[in-house]
Amino acid sequence: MTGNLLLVCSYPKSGNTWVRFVFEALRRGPHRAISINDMGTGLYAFWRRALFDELAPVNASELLMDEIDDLLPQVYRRAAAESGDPLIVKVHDMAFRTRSGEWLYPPDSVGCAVYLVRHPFDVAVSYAHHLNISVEAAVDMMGRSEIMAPSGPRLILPLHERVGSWSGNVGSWLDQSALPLALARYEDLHADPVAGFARLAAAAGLAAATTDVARAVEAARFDRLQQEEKSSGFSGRPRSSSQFFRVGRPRSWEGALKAGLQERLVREHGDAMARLGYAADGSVLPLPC
Amino acid sequence: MVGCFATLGSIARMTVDSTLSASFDGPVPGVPGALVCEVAKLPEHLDGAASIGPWTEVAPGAVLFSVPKIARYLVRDGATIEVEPAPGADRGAIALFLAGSARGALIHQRGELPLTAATMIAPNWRCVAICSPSAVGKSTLAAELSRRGWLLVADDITRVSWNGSMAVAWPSHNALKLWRDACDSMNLDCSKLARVREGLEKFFVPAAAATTPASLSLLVRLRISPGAGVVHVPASQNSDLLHESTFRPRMIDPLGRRADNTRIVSQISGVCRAIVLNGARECPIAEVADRLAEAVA
Repeated sequence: MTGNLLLVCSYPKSGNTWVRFVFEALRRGPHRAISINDMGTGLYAFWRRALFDELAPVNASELLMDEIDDLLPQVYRRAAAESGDPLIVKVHDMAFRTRSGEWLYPPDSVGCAVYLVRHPFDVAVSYAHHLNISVEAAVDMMGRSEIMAPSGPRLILPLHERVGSWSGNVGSWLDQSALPLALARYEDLHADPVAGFARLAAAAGLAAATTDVARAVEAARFDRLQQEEKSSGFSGRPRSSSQFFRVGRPRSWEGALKAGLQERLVREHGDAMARLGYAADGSVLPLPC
Repeated sequence: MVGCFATLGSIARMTVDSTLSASFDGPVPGVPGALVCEVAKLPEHLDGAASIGPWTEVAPGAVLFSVPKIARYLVRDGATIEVEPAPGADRGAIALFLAGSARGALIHQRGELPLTAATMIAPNWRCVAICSPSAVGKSTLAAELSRRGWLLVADDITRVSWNGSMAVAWPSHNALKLWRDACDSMNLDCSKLARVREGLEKFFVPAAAATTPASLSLLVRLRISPGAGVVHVPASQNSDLLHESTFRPRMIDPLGRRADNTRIVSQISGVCRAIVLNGARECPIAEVADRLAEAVA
């Protein structure tokens, strides 16, 4: 462990909130309650913007995207240095170096990067619901090298993110070696969450007994999160979406993703899918060695 | 010192005519007597300074900060801003940061309050500071109010001082800065507007502006939420709002201005009412403006 930043990285709609919820529950321990509206900021969205504006010499609103990228590594480095505890950071960016050659998330400040993946068939359907767009439009987005910017019409995102395409995002994280990476598939976590999260917690430096992990997993049970959103709302829900916690299980694409779009996803992302054991028929195979 | 580069007064005019290569001598709007000067070289560091961020050093009476590839700035004694431009830097960006971070530091040094707020004067002459974190929509709301005849006092950073009995908001801007999508939603033709700086999809929107200081009477915490509406804030919480909305509060202690800051926050809190205005970004801006207009009436 070299730094305080604990990155939870993924393409959007791959289970990032679930993982951060479990990590935060583990970090708090059994005696401090957690809710979806009080689970830490992930230094995301407005909080990332506020952090930037607090530490950068000028506000992000007056800088170009490349200039912001140039400053962000130092901002993260400073935030990590000032924090006594691990900072859980939500990341949808690709792993990339800025113009000056520095990694966006500086390796000297990152303790662990958990990279979470989900079958792109499920991602497409979930993303469409999240953004209130057609599934076809979501598949379009997954195939583009996407930069989500503050002026985007659908998401309130005060600081841009270089998300890339689905396979571009996957490849950028799997192919880098500067940051210590722990890979997790959504489907594996869903099948055996206690074992999966115990492995991730160990990689992330969150010392936890199996009973602690089981308790955190129970607190993060999907129906609980869904019920809380129904009763209290969820601050992370974009206005485009009527419900953030929607289905929460693998193979939710069945009946919602036309065969032509399945074929297109395989055509555009087949290599990355194969690396992750994601089959063209939507099934999930053992992770290739 | 090479010679006078620009004053913040000229920067305010520049927001409209965008003549970035012109010289802009004159008083600093809202900060009379302060001067900006271009210099060939600034010191690398300040003696005995605290680092409040990777690019900013603060010592009593002095703030030194750098914006890579744009410029370095030295703000001293609440009176001068020296700027060392980087070779070939975008002059529009240099001016923008003079009017922003450098001016904010200058106000701190004077023991006054640089409030992160868009401040407007309503048709009934009540002066309202609209406060929020970045990207919530202060300037968009201010633009809507401007269309309704409200006068602009300041955008981004409002200088607030205390004159013994009133909180005084100083006029410093004659244009608002709006992103293209906000301009589009207000049917403003961006092709006729000056860009805030080269490469940025953000534009100066001229606004009828106040020319004299105004007595600040209402603090508004603008908040993102699904329904537009107003919630009154207990007076005991006014100071929280002011603290949250203070520009770069990390500067205060190393500048040696904590006592001044505590005093002016208390003074402003004592004479202003505060409300939460809900509906930013989630509701039509006209609806949010309606609720504010009702609260001010």
